Amino acid sequence: TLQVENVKLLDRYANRKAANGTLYLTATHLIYVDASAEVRKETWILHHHIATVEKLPLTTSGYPLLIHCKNFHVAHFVLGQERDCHDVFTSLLKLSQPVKPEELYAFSYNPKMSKENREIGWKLIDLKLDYQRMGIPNDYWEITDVNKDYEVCSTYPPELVVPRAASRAVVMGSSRFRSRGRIPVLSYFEWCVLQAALCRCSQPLAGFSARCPEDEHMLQAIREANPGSPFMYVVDTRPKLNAMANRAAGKGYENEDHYENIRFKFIGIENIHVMRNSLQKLLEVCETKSPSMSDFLTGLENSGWLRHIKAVMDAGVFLAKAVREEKVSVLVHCSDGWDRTAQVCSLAGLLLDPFYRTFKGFMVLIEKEWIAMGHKFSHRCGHLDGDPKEVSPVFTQFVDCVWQLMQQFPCSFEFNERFLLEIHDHVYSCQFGNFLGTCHKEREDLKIFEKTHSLWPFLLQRKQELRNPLYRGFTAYKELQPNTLPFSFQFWCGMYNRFDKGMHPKQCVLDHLLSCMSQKMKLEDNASELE
Amino acid sequence: MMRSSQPLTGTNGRRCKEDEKLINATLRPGKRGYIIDTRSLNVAQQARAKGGGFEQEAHYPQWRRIHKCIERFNILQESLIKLVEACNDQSHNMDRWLSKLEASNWLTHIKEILTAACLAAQCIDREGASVLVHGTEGTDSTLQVTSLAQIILDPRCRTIRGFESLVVREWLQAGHPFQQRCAQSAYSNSKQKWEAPVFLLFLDCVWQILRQFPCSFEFNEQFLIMLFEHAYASQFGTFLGNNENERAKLKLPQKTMSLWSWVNRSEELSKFQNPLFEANSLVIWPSVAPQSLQLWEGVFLRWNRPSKFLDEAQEEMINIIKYN
Repeated sequence: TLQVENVKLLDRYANRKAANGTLYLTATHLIYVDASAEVRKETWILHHHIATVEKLPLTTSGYPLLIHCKNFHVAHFVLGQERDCHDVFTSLLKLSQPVKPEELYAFSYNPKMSKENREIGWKLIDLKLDYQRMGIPNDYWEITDVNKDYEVCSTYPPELVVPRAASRAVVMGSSRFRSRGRIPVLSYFEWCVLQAALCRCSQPLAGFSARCPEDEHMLQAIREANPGSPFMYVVDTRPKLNAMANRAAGKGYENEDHYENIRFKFIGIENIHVMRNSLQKLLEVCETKSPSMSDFLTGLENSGWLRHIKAVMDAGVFLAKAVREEKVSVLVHCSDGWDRTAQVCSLAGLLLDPFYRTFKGFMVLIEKEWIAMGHKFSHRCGHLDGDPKEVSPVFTQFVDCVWQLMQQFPCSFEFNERFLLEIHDHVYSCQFGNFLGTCHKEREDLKIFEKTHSLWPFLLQRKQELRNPLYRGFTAYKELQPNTLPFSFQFWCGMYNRFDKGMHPKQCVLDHLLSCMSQKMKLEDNASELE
Repeated sequence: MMRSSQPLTGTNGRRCKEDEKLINATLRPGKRGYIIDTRSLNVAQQARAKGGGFEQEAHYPQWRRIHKCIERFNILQESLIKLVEACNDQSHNMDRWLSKLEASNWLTHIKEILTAACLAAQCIDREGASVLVHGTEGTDSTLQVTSLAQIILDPRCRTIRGFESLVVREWLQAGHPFQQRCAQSAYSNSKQKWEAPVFLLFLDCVWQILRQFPCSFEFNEQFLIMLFEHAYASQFGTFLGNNENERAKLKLPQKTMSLWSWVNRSEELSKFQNPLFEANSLVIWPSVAPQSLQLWEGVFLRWNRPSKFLDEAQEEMINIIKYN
């Protein structure tokens, strides 16, 4: 453990007195202890959360170190000695950029828990139960284990839901025609009256003119699994120009002339590089010391961040409407079907099905559309020292969209904002095994399920503080139809300026309501004890 | 804290011993005072050409003058019109929305006014110093500053009766020209001359503070919206006329009913009460960071989106507090 005395932690407002304390570096955390005030104050930063460390130019107060975290915490330390500053800098660089998966926190995290309970933790979320809840297997859809050895697709889970009418040959043929073998599979199915299905895949390797009869049969099987509907939508979530450019590389999109009875549609959501830059610009605005209102709004506009959030939301709304109102099946893809596709499919699920707005349901949704379906968490979140061009706030945008929905429909989610922030923190913390690696196969190879803990039991234990006191229950709202005019989208101060306490309301309505409810429960407990 | 209009120093630098004596009488022994001029130094200097001006250091040596510029009332009406136009834009273009919102400058005005009010409150609370606030006529930005400063400093102004008194004292009796300012709102074909949403900006600032301190106000958002509506059009006589003199001449107390007599009836009052209110004796300092200030959706998006889900949330909140 490295320890440095007389370290200052600067506030964003220059006129406040800087705290003076001690910096500790443990194997997992940076801990700053401020003993100067009456109450001892600790600031903890997980090494895995550190995105960048910079040594700033020497000032009159000392040697500054600026740390930017992946959860948007920004810490500005000033050390007295150059030697100390350099030591801390090099240590943090190494600690925040593990090279091998085995170095990740999840493999050393060891809370007091029995082996059985750890294993039960992993079994908490069973995707098969969710398919059952949707009424699958049924006449038209089945759960197939054709991918049990990852023959079809190495980034898909072993069990997939495909149309019964799709033979093994069709599945294999389609997998050869889809980028990375990511064939069309079911994401969501309306289980009561309607038969419309939401399916997802990756882009076809169509180039300018290539065809694949098996892939065409696959789509036909999906369309015919919804007998009430004469056509199905195929939605490409990329901007038209990008999709067309992909054709030159032998990939591209579905030709309406080749696929019977499809209506093809582009919904332009920008790619991971645009999103990475957008967030970068947004954070610059958030970090600006004392911006004018104009500076802030102009910066917000220039970042494009809310424009992208709206684009994702618009896509989710389109999918939900097609399935629910038009009763038409939809097949959605982007390039590889693991970024934008994951965003819009999970969002559509939230809009359509109140189950996904419960604690358990939201965990199922993430396990299904993100984890099982191979969103590359490790790359997108920069868990290991890798290609910075692979890093992108795809999951962050999804969480932002969920928060936007919570603002419009305050009574329709079982959980509150903190639940979202906890999940977001842990996507980057690598403390739990759920988000390690890039797909199910990799997690099996890394022995995640034997060696690490699942996040979900830990969050469920804290339901009392993560719940939404205004939740009206499962049956209060069926589908959500959000307003997507631009003014409906707000800047999420609680996420992007989370650690700037001065900016948030000084009295927290959420805490007030939760404490009201817990007091009542305490009284009820006391009353029942007295009985 | 005192308020006034500008001193008529003119280009000759006239002084008035009585004026100096009057405001010096409010100084605490051994302490300086602050004069907060809601005009920029330039504007204050230019005012001299028309016979107005500002307090010169030589004549008011115990007073320190600070210029905290708040936009003049004639600009504000344009700002409101642009904001409302932005809210009505159905084009689904995010950049356009943010651009129009920024161009309206509405939130900039909010920030300016709150900053000036915080400054006035700080002089009093942190330094124990007397404060004199004025702009040009002392009927617009001056009143915004003095009334908001009281909300910050005095918990009584955050009760329903206290706030009503504040409005009567700092706006009606102080002579804010409601008849002129609230003649037209955002939708009007005729040319605006004296109209300006000064009172609405004040209410918006109160709402911003309410949002940041949701447990510190006895009244809720609906109360503020109700006051906004009645300032522009009302079956009650309270907001008619431009000052007490006119109200007396119009025989309003004899010929009209008072808004307060209706609002303060228990069945009406219950609609305006804040279920989260917990009386405290705190001085509350709002944050004026852009991230802390929000568009007042309850007023500006009221007719553009359904309130059903937000109303249900409000009901839930009331239920939770009632039954716990």
